[in-house]
Amino acid sequence: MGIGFIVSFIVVGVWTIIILGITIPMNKKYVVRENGKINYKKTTIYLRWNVFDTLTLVLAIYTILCVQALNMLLSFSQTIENPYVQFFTNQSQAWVIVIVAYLVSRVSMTLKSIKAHWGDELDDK
Amino acid sequence: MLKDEFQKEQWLKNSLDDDKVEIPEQLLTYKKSRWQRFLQYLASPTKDPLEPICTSSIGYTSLKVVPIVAAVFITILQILLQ
Repeated sequence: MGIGFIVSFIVVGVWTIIILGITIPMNKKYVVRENGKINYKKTTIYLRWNVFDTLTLVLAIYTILCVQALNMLLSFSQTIENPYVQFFTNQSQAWVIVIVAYLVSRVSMTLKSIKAHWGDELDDK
Repeated sequence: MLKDEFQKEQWLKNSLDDDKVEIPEQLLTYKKSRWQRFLQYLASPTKDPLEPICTSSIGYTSLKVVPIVAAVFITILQILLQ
């Protein structure tokens, strides 16, 4: 267990707690639920670009930079012994999964919201 | 609790009973905690940074082409560096 892995675990852990601490109350507040199901007709948060979406875009750019940093380090023939390689390996694999899963679900929720609001108009075409 | 003078006057009493105080919903937002206001800020609409790129035809195409070109460029750079 190298120092790079330990630092990366701490960073991922802290950010995960912060992200969950923000998203769970936000969903409780703005996503309208009725008897266990989400009412997409009353939920309008997915139909516009929010400040939160800008933050996810920042996280996506950070992930790209992590992968590129790892790419460069490996190009200069560093190995897993290097703490920087350890750090960027761990960061890349964690955030790629998180951000891809989030953005795909965001698109699917947006489409669901559009269908709930204007589904009858869209079916004609 | 109303005073006796108000109770004696029937017209005053009626008009006081009819009077409904409506609190505007805007006032309720002033009493929110700092955390609630932070969540409200995060959920508030803002400008989409990609929107000006998406609207023009060239931007729309370049949004798809530029990442591919960049990836190819970096790959070639790595092959040359070896």
